[in-house]
Amino acid sequence: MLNRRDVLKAGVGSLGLTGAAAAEDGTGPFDQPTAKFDVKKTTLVPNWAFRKLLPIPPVPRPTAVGTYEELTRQGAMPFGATDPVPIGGCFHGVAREWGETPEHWRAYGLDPVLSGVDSWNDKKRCFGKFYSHENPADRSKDIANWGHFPIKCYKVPMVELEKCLANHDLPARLYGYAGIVPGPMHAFRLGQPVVIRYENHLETEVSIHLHGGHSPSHSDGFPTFYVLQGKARDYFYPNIIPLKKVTSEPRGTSAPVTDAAAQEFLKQEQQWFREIAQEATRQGHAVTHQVDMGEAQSSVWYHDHATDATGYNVAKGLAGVARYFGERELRLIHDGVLPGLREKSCFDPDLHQLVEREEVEDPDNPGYYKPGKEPYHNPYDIYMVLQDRVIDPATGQVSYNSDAHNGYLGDIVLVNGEAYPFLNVENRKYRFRFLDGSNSRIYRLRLLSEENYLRAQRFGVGTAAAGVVGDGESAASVLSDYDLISEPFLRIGKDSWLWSKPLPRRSVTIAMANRADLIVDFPALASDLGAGEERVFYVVNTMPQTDGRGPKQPLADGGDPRVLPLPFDTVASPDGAIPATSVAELPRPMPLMKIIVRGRPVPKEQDASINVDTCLNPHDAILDDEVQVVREFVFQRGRGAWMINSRFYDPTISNVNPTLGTVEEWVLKNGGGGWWHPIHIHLESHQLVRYEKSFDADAIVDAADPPAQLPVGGFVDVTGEIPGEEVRGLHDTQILGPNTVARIRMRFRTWNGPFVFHCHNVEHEDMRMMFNFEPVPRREILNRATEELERSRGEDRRDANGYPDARTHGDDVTLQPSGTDSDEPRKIGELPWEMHPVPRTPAAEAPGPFIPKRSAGDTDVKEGAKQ
Amino acid sequence: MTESTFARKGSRLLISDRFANVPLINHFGQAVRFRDDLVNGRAMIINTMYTNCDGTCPGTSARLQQLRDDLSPLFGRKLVIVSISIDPAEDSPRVLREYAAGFDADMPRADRCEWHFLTGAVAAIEELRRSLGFYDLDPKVDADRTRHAAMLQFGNPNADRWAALPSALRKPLLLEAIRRVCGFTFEQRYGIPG
Repeated sequence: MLNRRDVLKAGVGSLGLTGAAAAEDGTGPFDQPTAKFDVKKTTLVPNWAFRKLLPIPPVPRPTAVGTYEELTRQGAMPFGATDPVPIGGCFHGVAREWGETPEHWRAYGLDPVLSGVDSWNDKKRCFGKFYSHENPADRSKDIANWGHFPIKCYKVPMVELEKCLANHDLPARLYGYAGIVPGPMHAFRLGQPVVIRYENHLETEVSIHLHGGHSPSHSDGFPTFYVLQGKARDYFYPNIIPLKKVTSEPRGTSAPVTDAAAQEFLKQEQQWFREIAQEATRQGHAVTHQVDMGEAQSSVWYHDHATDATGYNVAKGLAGVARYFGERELRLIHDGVLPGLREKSCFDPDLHQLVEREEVEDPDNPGYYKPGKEPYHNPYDIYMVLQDRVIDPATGQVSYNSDAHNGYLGDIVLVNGEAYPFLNVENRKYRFRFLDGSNSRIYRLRLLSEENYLRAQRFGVGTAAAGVVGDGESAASVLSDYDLISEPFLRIGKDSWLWSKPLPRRSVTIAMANRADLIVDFPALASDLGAGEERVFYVVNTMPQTDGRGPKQPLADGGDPRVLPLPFDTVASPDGAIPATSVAELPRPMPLMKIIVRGRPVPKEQDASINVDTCLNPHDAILDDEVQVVREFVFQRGRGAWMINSRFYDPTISNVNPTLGTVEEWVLKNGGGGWWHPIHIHLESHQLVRYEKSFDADAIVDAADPPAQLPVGGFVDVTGEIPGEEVRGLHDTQILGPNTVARIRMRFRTWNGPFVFHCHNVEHEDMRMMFNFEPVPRREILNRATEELERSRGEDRRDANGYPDARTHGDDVTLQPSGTDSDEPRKIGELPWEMHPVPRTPAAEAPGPFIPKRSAGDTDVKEGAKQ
Repeated sequence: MTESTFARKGSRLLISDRFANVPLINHFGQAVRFRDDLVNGRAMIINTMYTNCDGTCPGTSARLQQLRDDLSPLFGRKLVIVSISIDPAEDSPRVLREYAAGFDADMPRADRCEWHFLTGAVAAIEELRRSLGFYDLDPKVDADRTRHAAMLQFGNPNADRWAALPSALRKPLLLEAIRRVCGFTFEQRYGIPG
């Protein structure tokens, strides 16, 4: 192996690197991300670009809105007049938490004996309350975390459809939720449960993951919790905010101590929660937990998650976006801090029952709201999903490789399903939410004015920048020529959550499944625009990437083209441990969409008031002494596929069993080889505490044989190089750049049963770079007698080894021998409170060669279900 | 057992369209073209192997024999197993047939699905294996035959569904995945009546 510095000294040619370089030029079979990938398409803008309007996915109308009693009553038709099957009556049923209470919720004061409506009301009482955005100080307006608002039911058939993509005449055959690509845009209110009946009319089995949601295992899109072909599953999203223990004083928050606005806000909010607790106590409820408001999600999405097939299904179109509305965010919209129509953007017609169906339903698009009539209607909040595809020129079909080991990379980017769209905007502040919905492409987004964009297209950045006058920003904050010509914006959140405060940026890097929540201040960018005039801006991607391994670009200095330093720019540290590097960017930006601003800026008082000091969504940081367990996971390649800790994914075992109610620190290591792995952990948000990088490992140049092993040493803490808000903010997907290690912390709350974490390069995921984790209740919660006994002995039960046998790899907790602790034989995948992939399959028959037949008399399956 | 219909009209792009249609010889000495004769409406399990392998190949072949035994009663003639030699210079049809004898595949059997061991020109095998995705991302590893991955690629060309899994996975997992991805009927896929 050669050292990069040696190469620099000696010069490339003399070291005989030419052969290796040839293998790297993108023409060999090893770099071919798909059969029809055309690298030229990624840089050439076609002449038909920017002629189609950016599509905004429609918001679906619920099939029913009602209380638990109304929806479960005999004869209720929650999924429309043509579907007589009650909630939970379909083939795959509904989460047991819909009608029952698991044992471990005793910790929240619930009574597991109750069922049905009694259980529902018990949950409503015990899952706490939070204040209403309309009048936070008015206790009569408080909102119950569980089921305060009437339950909304939706029915979403998944069907094949035909749609012309990227200006092709021939329609591509796609898979779509409700027959559209991308899927319908949901608007969920926290405190309002939702049941979605997903019906599978496709020739593949699917499993729908609400990415960013805090949902029961049955409804979380666990890879083998399928919706089989021709069957249906009722996905139950309680849309609750997780609870936290009530403490006398807030311990630590994500906001810096000096941030007066956040301190003031939290003090005020805590006062409201004290009043809520007093109110509950007055009504005779013991209050041990309160709602953890910082965990309220904002920008989430949903996509397919079926074993072995996720990449294909997502490439065919099974993805859509959803927005959550929590009271903190609604308050910001209501008060005109975030862009929107103030109280009109906080309004859901179905909550107030003020409108008839004819008034809100779109006659041209039955089942959806009329544009402008949808709940939380907000013309200044635009959600855009970026998906790259290879489109076969001959047939217009999406060309997919099932064997793209690196990851499926497309040569054309669709924004909400349209290539190179344009968007008309008013001259005011806008909220743009970008989702990287690609299988393996990483984006670096920038906003360029038309002048700078055209100049960059023509001359390339580096030469053009010299002629462009910056806007007076201090030179120290400008890292690259691109920063000189990029327009500024505020980033207000990452993934599902808003940050505690906005962060001024000129670029944003998003890996697969990451979301970037941005505020663009058009009046500041086009202050001189007059009435009737327009100005054009471009959203561009500057990340060079020609295979699924990750961004890369042959470096001018002959360094390893496969390895880019980090997913973010770095400033040199005084001790020299961290070199000053910036992520290589394309010399010519790759445009994604065009934005046309029209008219005079709206008066300041009518525009959103958000600025860099606005307090948005502070949350409780996890402190060192809360961590009870540390685990390490290495994401690596081996034996022809992808592994974690040298193991392939096995859906039938539990790899990790955290104890509910505890905090763990996970060390996520990139196993080397130059791949970028975005690690997504289901169920919970996580907090980044440390990001490390081995620059020594990067220095090794061997183009033919990149270091496949994680370097053992030389890790430097580069956490300080990441913007503070991003480090402190909540995440659900953490990108591991080459030769990096991320330490994250997370709480495990509310739901047991299996969940997964995996690489969100979905081809890696399909080829088994995935692990199961199964939060388990503390033992004492399951057994009161034990609990009391142990308490009487004064034992500390903060024991993460609640299930020591299940903790190590290979212990098969989901394949139980029959009749261990009950009369009923255990079923496959049937721990208490866990649902099984194939209903009622006796475990004793599982190891045999076939999945056994279900017995005819099996009462668990309703034959009347939609077939 | 009713087959669901995958027959389609109009333009369609199948994953299997790009599998190389190269001329090959099977272990019975019959000349076959890969796509014309083997990718023809049957479910497929494909692997690469060579007879001199003292690494993973015998294990993979033994695993394929088990899969063949277990899947044949389910799929009947609607399944074909294809083992492609990556050492065509050494592996003549005769050598392959001797090797196949160790896995009960040297003679066609009425109660088992077809299993072809294929050899051919070096260039044809190279083209085929690359088109099937049987290569390592690392050219050094790829060039070293002894380090080839023990992967099974399986799919249903009619349904255009393909997946690849390591043959080292537990057999029940492989069976479940192959049935699910390759099956023609609900029952073949999921083991329960549709």
